[in-house]
Amino acid sequence: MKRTRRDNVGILLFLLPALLLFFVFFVFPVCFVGVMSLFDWNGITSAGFVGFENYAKIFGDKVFWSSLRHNVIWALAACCIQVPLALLMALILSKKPRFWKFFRTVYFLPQVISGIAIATLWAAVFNSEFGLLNGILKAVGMGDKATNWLGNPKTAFVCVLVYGLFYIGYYMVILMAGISGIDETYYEAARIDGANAFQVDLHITIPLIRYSLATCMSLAAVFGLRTFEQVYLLTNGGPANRTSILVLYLYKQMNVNDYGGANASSMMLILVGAIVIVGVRKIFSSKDD
Amino acid sequence: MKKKTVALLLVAAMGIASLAGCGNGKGENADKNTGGTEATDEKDAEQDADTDKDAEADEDKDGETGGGSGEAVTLTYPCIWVGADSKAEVWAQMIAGFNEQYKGQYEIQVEEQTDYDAYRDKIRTLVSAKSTPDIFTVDSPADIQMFAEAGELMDVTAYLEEKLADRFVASAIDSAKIDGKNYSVPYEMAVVPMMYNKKLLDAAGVEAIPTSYEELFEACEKLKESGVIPITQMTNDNAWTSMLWYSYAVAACGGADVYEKGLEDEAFVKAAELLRKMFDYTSSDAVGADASVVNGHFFNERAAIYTNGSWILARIQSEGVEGLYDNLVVGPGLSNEGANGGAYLNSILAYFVFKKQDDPNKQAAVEAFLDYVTDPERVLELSASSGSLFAIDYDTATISDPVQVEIVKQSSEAAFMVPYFQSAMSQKVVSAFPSALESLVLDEVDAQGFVDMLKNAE
Amino acid sequence: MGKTAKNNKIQAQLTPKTVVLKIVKWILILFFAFYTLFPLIWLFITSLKTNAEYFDNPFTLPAVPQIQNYVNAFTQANLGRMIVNSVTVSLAGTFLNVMAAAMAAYAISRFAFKGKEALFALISAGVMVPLNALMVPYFTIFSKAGMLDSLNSLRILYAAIGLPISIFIIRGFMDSFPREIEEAAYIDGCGFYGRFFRLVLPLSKTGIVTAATFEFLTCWNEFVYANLLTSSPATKTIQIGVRYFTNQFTTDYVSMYAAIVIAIIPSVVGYVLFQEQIISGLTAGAVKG
Repeated sequence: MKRTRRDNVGILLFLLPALLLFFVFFVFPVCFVGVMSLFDWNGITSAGFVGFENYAKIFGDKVFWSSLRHNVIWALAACCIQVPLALLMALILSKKPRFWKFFRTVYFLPQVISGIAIATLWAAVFNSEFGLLNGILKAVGMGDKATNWLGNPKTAFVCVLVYGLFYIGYYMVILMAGISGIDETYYEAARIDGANAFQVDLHITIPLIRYSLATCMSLAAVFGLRTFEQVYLLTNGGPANRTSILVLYLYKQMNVNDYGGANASSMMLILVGAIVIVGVRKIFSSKDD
Repeated sequence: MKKKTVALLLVAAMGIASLAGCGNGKGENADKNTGGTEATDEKDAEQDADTDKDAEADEDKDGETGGGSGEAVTLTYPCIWVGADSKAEVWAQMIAGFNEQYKGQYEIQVEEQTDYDAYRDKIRTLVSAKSTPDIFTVDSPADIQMFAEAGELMDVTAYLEEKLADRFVASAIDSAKIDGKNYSVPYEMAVVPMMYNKKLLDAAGVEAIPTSYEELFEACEKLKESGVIPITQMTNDNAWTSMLWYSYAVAACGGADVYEKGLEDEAFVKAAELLRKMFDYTSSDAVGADASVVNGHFFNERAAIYTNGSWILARIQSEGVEGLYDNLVVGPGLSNEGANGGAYLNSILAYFVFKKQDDPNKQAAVEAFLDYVTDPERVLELSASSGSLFAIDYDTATISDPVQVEIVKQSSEAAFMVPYFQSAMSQKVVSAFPSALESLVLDEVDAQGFVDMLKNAE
Repeated sequence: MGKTAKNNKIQAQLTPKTVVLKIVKWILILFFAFYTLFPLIWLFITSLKTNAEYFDNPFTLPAVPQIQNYVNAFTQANLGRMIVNSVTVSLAGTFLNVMAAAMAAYAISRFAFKGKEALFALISAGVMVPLNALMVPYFTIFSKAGMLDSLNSLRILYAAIGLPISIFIIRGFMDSFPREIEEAAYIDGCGFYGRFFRLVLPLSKTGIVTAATFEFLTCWNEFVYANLLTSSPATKTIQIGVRYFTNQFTTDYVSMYAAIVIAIIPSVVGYVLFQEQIISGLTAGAVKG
């Protein structure tokens, strides 16, 4: 297949709308954020240039590092637990068991409901006075395990993180779409070879949806790094910053009008994200060849 | 500008679509293409409709700035007293009344703003982008100072002093001054009593409401034995009610001028010790609890002692269990080691601020608005309907709600008035308070360590 | 269709092992179904309670179902108008977004050009940009363009902020089909545009619909910029309506939950319709491949 000049024009023309939007709404504002991260700025009145002082300040802050650590754990948990679970369910539902359409819709519903409702529910589940979790523990004779789940430094982060890992609909939809695109002939060949369902999944389906899987892994990592709402609504970073995460960290900087610092945190967030995205792609593309 | 870009994009997409035909086979795909084009057409039509609407809006705006010539001067006002706010109904009537009275001359355009965090972000962005609304409210003196320094706020000193000075409660206007000038008008006032559920106190054998911290802790012991939560505390969000408890403790340990002495004063450490002890008598979910949890405990008689601004009264009536409101007893601050009892917390909760105007018509409209909303009769109605109190000197004798009357009486007889911590401290200290409190309660730091955390936030 | 029917046949023999697997499978399916339906059912029940009942115990049934909450939500918050606005904003935003993303993904996925991976990494890093930190730049852009208080500003903004994810997802799908298909079309005389519209677009329909689903939900659930960029009642969207009952010191929880339930309905309906599209698109695509 030869590249023609018409192709080159086409490539340019096809990239143009996305690039235009991307430059106006990402590149330009991020440049602004990058420049302002070098200023001591309260968001309103004119700013004084301070060089890399804002960065020095956040690097010297314990809470920044623990936030980053929490984000990394979050990203890993999403990649290692949430996406595999999504894959499992995608494989099961793709075989079209009874009511599979219903279940596929149901699994996706948490994406549709606004985060406020889900977070308030889980806050109530974890509550130590009237919460469901302690109620169940007491009912089954494990009342001694009951605790203030979101206020106990030992359990808070795990609780905030874990409940969301079982909402797999987002990744499951991507993976099911991937599976549905697999060519029928692959399966016919496998059937002739006498492979069982498990072998078919392992040797045919999973390798064939590796691009979808790569997409899910990257997205899971990135969403883990930029997670916000779940923590903001449940613990607001508490107790004593035990559940703090980066976006919340910078949000709190904005709240005290430290926009210079918030912009420095934003730049760090973007940087960490870019490294992770490139890293995940590297892992998956090397498997390719 | 951007609209043209979008139109261009759409045209480009359509153009490309028409190029897309291949050498062979049209049938099915031709259908698809026309389908696509139709969708695009619809979108264009819609876009056009919107453009028309925008054009109209632009004309309106031109009319505004012209002013005077028959057209009413309009003032934009993003308003938070809407929706579920207890002042919403009467406030809407007041705005409507103003627009009626000044029909054809001035008009207030209310933009309803509910979520407070989003409102605050919006105001900051608007001011930063020099698109300040004509009228809005702010809760933080630090923000007012910042907006004034940016040159965005109207100086209302002269008008206040000449026309409205005697309408405000003593020193309210003066304490809102920045460098001797009023860029803001104090309006809604938080008056914070301590609240007790008399029924639960009686059941636990507590005969009188406490007047000192010693008595409070005695009462707490008895309440705990009787199986209820003695005091409600919270640490989530801004740790609102616990911040109020701390403010009372700080006042009891340091007296009326405690905030002038700053965080170096030992009153802040002693108060932290008291607050820490109160957490021994609170619900198991206090660390991490937000306002709805705390309210839930008090509203449902799970907890006996509570504190919050007077605006909560309306909700206690509507959402509390039956009879709760009749059992409600309010009281002033407690004494510590025999000193500084009987204080009352009060701070300005909402300041009106106005955009700096070049147009004298708009300035006049703002003044008319100020005159209208500070009218004591109207403020009385607003206050009586909502339970809120105001920095306006209005005749409280006609308020009929007994609890509200009691709060007004007690606060006027209070040994001294003191602002709460959140309004007296810098934003950075205030924002460090919840996590410092959590460290204190989890015994990661002692009282001194707690105060050090606050100091380090500066 | 055919493929999974055959897969089922592979499983069809009833041995103890397959029975156990079947039971495990159904336990998993039902666990996830319960886990995801739980918030929804709770939300619905809570939306029928009084605030007093809600505060008393979040996990009880209402004494009398409060239909009034729904009336409140609909009338006070003016949800009708807001739903209409949200629908037009979300559809237009999604259309623009997916169009631009699919075109860009085609250029990136199916052609080699200088700096392509760098460009893709740059766009992907956009996923990490903390949008809440961009209020001042975004407001300034729309203010300078004279587009404040207009739904068009939201349409364009939403199309833009979803670009990184959409390009990411769609590229993942386009990467996955073999080059030979295009070669064949090329030999048949299909040019750059022909291959896109006649071949790549239909083949990646599942990916595009997946991206569109997510983009639609992004548009539907976005609140911060909907609140920032609009001011008149005519330009308010549904998420502003959902928050109509949360004030500085007061939240009318039950009315808010009713508003959330109302807000979910159109997006669930939309989702089910979108997913039906995937299935029909699938069979068409599979036959061609």
